[in-house]
Amino acid sequence: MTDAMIGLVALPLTGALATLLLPRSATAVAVGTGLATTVAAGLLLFGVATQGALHYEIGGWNAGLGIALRADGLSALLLMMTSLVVLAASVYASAYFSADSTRDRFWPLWLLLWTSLNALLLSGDLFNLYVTLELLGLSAVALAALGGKRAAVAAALRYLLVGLLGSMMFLAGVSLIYAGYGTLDLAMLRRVVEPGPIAWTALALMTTGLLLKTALFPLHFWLPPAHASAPAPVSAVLSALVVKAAFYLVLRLWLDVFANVVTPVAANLLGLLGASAVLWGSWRALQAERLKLLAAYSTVAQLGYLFLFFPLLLALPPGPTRDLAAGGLVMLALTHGFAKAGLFLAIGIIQQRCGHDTIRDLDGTAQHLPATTFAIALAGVALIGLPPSGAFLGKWQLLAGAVETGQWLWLLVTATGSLLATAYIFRVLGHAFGHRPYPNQPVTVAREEWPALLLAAMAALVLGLAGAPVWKLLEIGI
Amino acid sequence: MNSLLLLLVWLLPLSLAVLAGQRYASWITVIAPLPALLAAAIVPVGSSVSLTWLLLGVELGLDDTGRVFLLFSGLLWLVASLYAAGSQASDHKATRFRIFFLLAMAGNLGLIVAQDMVSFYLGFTLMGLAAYGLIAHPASQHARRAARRYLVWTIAGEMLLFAAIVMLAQQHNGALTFSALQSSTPAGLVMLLLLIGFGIKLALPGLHLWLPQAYAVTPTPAVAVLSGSMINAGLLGWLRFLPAGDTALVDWGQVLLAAGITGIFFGAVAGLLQRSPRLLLGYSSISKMGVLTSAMGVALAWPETAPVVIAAVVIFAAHHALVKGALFLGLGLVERDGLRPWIQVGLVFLALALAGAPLTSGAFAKSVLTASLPESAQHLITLLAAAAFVTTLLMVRFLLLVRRLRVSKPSPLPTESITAWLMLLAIIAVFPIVIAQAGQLMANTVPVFLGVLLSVLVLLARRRFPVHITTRPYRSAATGFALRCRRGILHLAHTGELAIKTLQSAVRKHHERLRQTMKHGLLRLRRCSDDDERWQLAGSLWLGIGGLLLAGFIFTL
Amino acid sequence: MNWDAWLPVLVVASSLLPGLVIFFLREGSHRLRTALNLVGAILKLVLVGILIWGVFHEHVYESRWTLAPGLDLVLHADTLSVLFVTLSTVLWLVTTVYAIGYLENAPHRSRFFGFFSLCVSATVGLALAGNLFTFVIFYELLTLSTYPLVAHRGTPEAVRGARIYLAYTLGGGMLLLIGTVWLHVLAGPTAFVEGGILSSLPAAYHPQLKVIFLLLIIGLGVKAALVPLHGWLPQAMVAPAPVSALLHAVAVVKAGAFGIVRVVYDVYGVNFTDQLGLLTGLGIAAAITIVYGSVKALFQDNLKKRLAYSTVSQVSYIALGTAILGPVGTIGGIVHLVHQGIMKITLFFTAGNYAETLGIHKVSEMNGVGRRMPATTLAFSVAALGMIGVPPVAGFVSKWYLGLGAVEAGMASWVMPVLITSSILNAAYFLPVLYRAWFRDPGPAWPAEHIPAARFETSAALLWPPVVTAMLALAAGLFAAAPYSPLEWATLIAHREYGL
Repeated sequence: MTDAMIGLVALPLTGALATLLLPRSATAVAVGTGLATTVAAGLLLFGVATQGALHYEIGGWNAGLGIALRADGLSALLLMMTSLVVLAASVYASAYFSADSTRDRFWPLWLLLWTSLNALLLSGDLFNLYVTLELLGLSAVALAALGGKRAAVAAALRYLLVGLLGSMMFLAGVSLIYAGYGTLDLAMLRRVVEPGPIAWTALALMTTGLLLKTALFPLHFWLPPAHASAPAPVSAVLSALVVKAAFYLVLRLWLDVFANVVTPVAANLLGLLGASAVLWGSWRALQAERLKLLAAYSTVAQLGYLFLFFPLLLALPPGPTRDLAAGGLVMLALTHGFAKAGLFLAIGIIQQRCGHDTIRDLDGTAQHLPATTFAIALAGVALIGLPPSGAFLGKWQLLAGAVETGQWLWLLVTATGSLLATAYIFRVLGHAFGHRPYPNQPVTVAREEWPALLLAAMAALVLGLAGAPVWKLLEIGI
Repeated sequence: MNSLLLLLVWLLPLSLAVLAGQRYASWITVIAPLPALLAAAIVPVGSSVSLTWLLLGVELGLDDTGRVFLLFSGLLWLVASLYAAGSQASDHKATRFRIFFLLAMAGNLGLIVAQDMVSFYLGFTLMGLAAYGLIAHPASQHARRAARRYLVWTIAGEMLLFAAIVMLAQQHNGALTFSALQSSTPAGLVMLLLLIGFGIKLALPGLHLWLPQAYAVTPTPAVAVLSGSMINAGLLGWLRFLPAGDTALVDWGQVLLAAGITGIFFGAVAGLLQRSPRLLLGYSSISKMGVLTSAMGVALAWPETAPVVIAAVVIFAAHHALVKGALFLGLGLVERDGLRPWIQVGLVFLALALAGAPLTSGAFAKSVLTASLPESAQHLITLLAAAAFVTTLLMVRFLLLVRRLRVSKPSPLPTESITAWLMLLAIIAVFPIVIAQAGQLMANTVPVFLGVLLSVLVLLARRRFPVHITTRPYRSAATGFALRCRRGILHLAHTGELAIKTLQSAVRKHHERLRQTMKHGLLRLRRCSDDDERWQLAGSLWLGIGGLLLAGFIFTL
Repeated sequence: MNWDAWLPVLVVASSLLPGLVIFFLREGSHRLRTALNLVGAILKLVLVGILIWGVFHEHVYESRWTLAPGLDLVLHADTLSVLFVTLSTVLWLVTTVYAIGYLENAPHRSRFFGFFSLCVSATVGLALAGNLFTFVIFYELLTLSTYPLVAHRGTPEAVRGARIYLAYTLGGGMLLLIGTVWLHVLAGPTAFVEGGILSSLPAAYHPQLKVIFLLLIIGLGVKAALVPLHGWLPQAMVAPAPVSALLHAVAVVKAGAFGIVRVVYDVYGVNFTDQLGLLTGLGIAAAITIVYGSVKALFQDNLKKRLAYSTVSQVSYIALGTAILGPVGTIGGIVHLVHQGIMKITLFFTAGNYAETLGIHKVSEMNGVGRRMPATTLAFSVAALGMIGVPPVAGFVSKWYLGLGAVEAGMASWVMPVLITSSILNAAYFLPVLYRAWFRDPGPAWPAEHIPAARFETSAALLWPPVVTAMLALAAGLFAAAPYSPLEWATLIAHREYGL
């Protein structure tokens, strides 16, 4: 199984180099690499499920000196999600890009992004996390600027600036930890860290940096413009995975490494920010005039939900109830990943066919693309949190936790957020019904529509109906 | 065989309604009441049929009362069908008429053989609703209004009856048969509901408002059965539902007695003021139903006499049904082709019968009734005599009105109709002579004689001193009140609707205004985050959050 | 192969799978689509028959699937679910035939029938739900699958109506969800057990239980069109007639009423609900709805809107029956679930017939239509008389039991007047329609005669469904005391609920 772990990092990296060297068969190489990486992720998941948490030290160097790769239930799940999403987006991208030059620059950066994502999820120490975080940010920026238009470049530069600020803060925190405890290994730190000025400051610094990167309200301002101009597969990955990676780090730090440092007050702060994100993001999404902006603001809102879990997790005593809530959090994150990716891919199809993605003018186009509309519908169901999507189960746990701990505010926020989400999703879907006749075939361009459909279906159906193993897997800690 | 007959009593008319559009449908209609007559003749008293799987459990049967009712109702329906075969031949909406005719017949005959509350109610409802179709059949504005008024009253009555039978069912633990009902007294509320519910059908004063106009517009054969057998369904209802003869319901008996007496004189007086023979006959029905109501009151108040009184009531009802039916049929003939001498003779005979002149069925019925009265109620005999007196006056006026009737478009009299009427006349003439004992036919001599005398005097006086009084067609104060009530209720309903609409639009306006304010506010907020001052805002927020987080870690509350 | 566990799943799948396949069919493949629809419907009917037999003999059919720790998707067949499933299945078959005729030459038929099948699957799943969690899931799925049906025509009014529908139902769904989650936290998995499971909770929880009840009833009341949550119903009339028929008779409105029945009987238990003092409140809400709906119906000229308000009024009879303590009242409420379904679907079929054949949408345009379309108008008349409560049509039986139950429970003083007022109002808005149809002469021309008078008054697929359902309504009343009638089954349910 350690081969799987190595493969998860090595395969995309090699692929990135290969596409650089073989531009003409870049697409085939990329998709092939994608398939291989996904298989590796599957093997890893299987391995974690059967053998428990996995651990590998690169080069044989012990922890403290060398780079350790660790995989537990949480990272295995997120790795699986990453692989599936990127694979689907790769298939999509193989048909999406028309201009050669864009394609040549796309694949290497794309695979580099994947490498950094996998490496981040597998990292076992703080410095490694910083490196991969930085790499992730840079490749994401480059991909965002791929369109070459002025707006895209401006947005990408903003993203870069914000990303660097965040990373700097993170690094500051990491160095403080190193200065204070002398180790950066996550497993060791978990045992050693105690509440005190060092831990507090370090955690505050790291979290602040990560909050920027995860686009939590009110630090979300860079996200919508970045989405607005990026190509569809890039938007998908950006919303679904990149910001999720930063969130994963916050999760890891708060619930795992610094578990005895965090306080309910701080958690409530995060919760409040999350609540504001939910309400503000949903509201802006409702007002959005372009589909991409709608989706971007929806991401802001959905991430808010994830942060709503923090006060609940801290208020619940450790035990089965808390595990249920934690599982709900992960389920929500997974569902959102798939759903948002599917949504962006579908929006990309619309944008390509009609040349625009203005919602008001969607009337005729939605009929011509029934499979795409269906993908949007499925993704929408998952974003709203309706059954049988995984988000329903996640929201259930959120509501249950709120009731259990008596924190009624989060309940209210969740309910309002869901209703607002309903409004903005069905605003789009309302345009799908019209007088124009059906085309003869429901699916038009298979390579683009099937990935969108499958991703959305994954979110809306598979995770909801077959999601019970998620909780079992999460019990496997590092 | 008996069971089959009992079933066919109502099943045959019901099934024949399907064939109402066929060519020989009018003759088919004549066949329909035959099972009823046959059942009345052959089926022994006390036989019953139980259909536990039908509706809520149906029980049919025949008792003494039922037999008499079946006999005269069946007869009347037969005669009316025969009449209709002639008179409706030229009607191009005849199919519709026939369907409702047969449905009403099925309901009427069905309720007579019903031995449980629910099937009685079924027949009663069917009859009531089908009669609407008969009343509304002429497509005029007048007919529409009269039919609607009838329907409103009928439905109100049916609803009250529904409430009554539900409460009765609960009182008897779900038992629905009439035999189970006879064991205990109904509660006060139930009594009231039963009295009013059936009272509407019987046109008690105050509940009679639907009757006159309905009788005025309905086609002849239908009004004959309407006034003859259908009105008696109300009586049968009382007979079946009220436990007469078992317990002393003295107070209710007194109420009924009072209502009946009021009805007698109200009907007569109102009838005397009419200018149309049909309306007069209608009020006459109200008067006669008053007699029946008083008798029912007597039966309730003096339970020991109940069986005898009830028997008398049934005979009186039969007499009135046949005579009133015949009067309407005769009137129908006059309305078609004017007053022929032989029709006039028949009408005079019928008028005498209704008034109760000696040797007629009226005298028979009256003497039976008088004989059944208890010792302590002898003062009622005077009452009955007075009733006969007023009825005589009424009938004289009727004959005069008939003489004055002008026919606008005379059409030849169909043979069937004439035959039907003559048949009925014969039966009315013969049956008292066959059934009655000697003394019973000589009642009422004095009142009738007095009545005739007074009428002659009045007529002579009128010829001597012609008076130009334009008597307005009688319209009760109650009608005016009811109209005003209806207007008031509609107005109230419209005001309610208006209020709801105003409230809705106010809420919508308020909602709209709220939305606009929120929209403007948020738009302003958005705009401020669009330009580059955003960086400063964002930066300060960011640092602020960092600080708060740190504080959160340090200061654990 | 454990049939007991698979049967409920198969019942749901028998319409789900054809539906999914239909989505991918080409627009022109009528035969295949019709075949799939009908095969699915008939198969479901057969499976439901097996279910009825089994449940009658106290067989246990249950499918269980864990979605998350502590949250199981359970499909369980008990007497009440079998009642609703049978109603849904029979009426779905009839509606499918009707829809095939109605939507002839209409666009987007594959999409329509696909969502149609999904809608029925959701209804059946809801009926078979074995706990509140599963119920909530199928409740939301029902909303999702009916939205495209309401918006089918694609006109601005249709989209607007669908949006209002969605706003109301998803809002209600959210309240239902919150109530369910809360209940879950307090009492664990809330399986549907006859007699309820909450009476054993300590008294300290009672205030919370009252609030939860309120949330659940409001959430369910949106779909069940309790006043003032009924606003979506008249707006949803823009849907094609088969959709209105399904929504009003079988799927949406009934699902809400069914949910209320489930909550009162199988979650809280009727005696416990009475103990908490909640039954009276429910009864009053139902009574207000009954009268309000009827009053509003009086003023509608649009036939479908009139029928919509009539639904608002009639469905609350079920809630009223639930609020009457005692087996007789329960029987009245539950049997009305079936009776109202059959009668209302007849009315909507006939309204659809008038619109499709002659372009009639308003009552004022219905003069003399009885002559032109006698069978349809006869079906309409039978159903209308049933609504008023005239025997022997089925509506009389429901009213009888409701009245009797009210008298037994000592609530007759306000329930009887409500029943009587409602009957009178029903008469006031149905009888004039009948008068117009049968007694008036038609105008010079019909608004838009799409289907000319041939041997039959309209196409067969449009004619037979209302005739069949009218006959069913008549039969349900006539043979109410016979074995295998809806009344018998309702009596069985009531007896099992009260432990008699």
